[in-house]
Amino acid sequence: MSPIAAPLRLAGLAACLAVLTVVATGLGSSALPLDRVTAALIGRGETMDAVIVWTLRLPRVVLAVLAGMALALAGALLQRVTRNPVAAPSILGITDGAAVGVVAFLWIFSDDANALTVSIHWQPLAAALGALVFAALVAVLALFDPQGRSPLRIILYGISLAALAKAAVTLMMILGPVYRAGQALTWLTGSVGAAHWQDVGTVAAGLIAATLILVMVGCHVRQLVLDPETAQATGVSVGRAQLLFLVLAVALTALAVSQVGAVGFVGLIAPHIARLIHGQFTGGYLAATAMIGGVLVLGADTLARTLAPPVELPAGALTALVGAPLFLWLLLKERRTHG
Amino acid sequence: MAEALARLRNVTARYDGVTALHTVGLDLPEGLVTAFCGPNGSGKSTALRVMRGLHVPSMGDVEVAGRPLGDWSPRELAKSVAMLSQSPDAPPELTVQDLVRLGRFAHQRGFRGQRAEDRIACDRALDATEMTHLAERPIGRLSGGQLQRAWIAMTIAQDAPHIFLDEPTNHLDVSHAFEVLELVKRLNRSEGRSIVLVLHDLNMAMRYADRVVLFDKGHIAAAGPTQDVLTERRIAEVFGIGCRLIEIEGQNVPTVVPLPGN
Repeated sequence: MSPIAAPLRLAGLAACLAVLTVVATGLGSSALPLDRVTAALIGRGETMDAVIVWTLRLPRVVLAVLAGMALALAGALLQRVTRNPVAAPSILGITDGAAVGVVAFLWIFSDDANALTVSIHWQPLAAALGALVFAALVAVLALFDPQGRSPLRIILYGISLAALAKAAVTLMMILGPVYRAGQALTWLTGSVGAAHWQDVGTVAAGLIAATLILVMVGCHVRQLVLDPETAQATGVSVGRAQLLFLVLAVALTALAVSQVGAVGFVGLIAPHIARLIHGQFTGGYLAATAMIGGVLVLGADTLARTLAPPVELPAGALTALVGAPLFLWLLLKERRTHG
Repeated sequence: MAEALARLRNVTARYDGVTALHTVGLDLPEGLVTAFCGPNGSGKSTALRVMRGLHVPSMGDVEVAGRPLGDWSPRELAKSVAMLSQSPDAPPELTVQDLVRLGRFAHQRGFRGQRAEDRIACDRALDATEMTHLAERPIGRLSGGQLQRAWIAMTIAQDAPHIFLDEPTNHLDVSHAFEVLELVKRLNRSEGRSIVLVLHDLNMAMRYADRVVLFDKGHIAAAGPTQDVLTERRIAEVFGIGCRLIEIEGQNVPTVVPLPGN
């Protein structure tokens, strides 16, 4: 591990995130230099700059950061609960399950004029429901399989169910009216798109709740690196801890996905970068993971909207571009150590 | 009567429909080294796991330190009884020091909470197992004997007055096995901890255990002071092989010599 002390590394990550936030807020169709962004951020900018920064750019930037944090935490928790370094919300079918929930919600609750018949604020709940159903399916399959405890088996179930969920989303989009399909496309590949402060508030509230829970019972997370029996002998109620963290991971994923779409692989990449630069057994690992997740999604979203303007690429496509090769590499490494 | 370390009453335990313990009754006194011996599948590991609350018996009552097992919270029980299972597992990148720290869970509260007393307990555990010089090494790069000592260090760091060890000498060569059992004896004699361990090697039991519980097909064939339990006749009955106990000059316990093809 690098000789820099853990608190310093965390401060460094926070600084990275802050700088990227300011830079990303400046970038866009009417680019603002950094000094004007900073001025607007501290409330001393011109009116026009303030509108661009506070109304147009910042909600999207902050939403990307928070969603990234939620997905990264979900990934780190899943990797602990399943004792599997390859676990992540997108690989266990949870991300796509949430997308199924959202698209089904949009389909079921639209009238003939393509207007929603219920409040859009139910959408996160629909995402959570979809995520929960798919997480439960993976868990049930793993529990009824005598070899279901093997890490690769769980991954196989997750990937199969993710494929099923993707197919369901595609079918609903083709069978549904075009407008809804356009709206649902967001959740297919992930895009931070049009963000409002209200969305930011929703994700922030969820993230704060999760953080409070983790501060209270976070020491259980580290304990779960031990095999269940040994963990229990050290004083953990393993079953309860696993269930709590599983539900927390599903909720965090649903929260992020319902707002920014099925941005995949963040929950896989962020914990692994945190392992590399911070260490997975060092205090503050979860904080480091969350900040890296924020950087990843913000970076992906910023690239997505500035690479080929005026076309906006889906941020999820960019994270998958990095995440899928990492996933393959981890699988190969796993085979080498266990084969 | 002195307080019992553990008490089983009419305990029956099953795994996947196979009965591993048949209405077993057992009293284990405090302050001693007790060895559970018996053939494979005779129920000794199950008995240990039941006593630690890791396996719920289908019938019967279990008491630990005078209290029914159900009355203990997981943390309280961990503070009273530490246990090392047969094949513990942790990621190979974990360092010895971090592994030993995990043994402090029951004493910690909140997110970080590594206090001075945790550090002292970890240092003492590393010292007792002679692992201090390997503290920074990832457990994936330890030899078999070192790895076993690292796990025992984690168990000791838990600072429990009672320690259960399920086949702690498994996978160890003779000299490492002796080292582990010498450590067990030290923990008992100089720190007054009660130890219950599953042992396959009857000579090790003969040398290091104060008492032996001999298991046979889910029942207890005998329990008591080591030399009263491990007799030629009883070993022959339980293990189904002939056996002689031979006194060797300069050794204060007899040596068990199995005689195949009896």
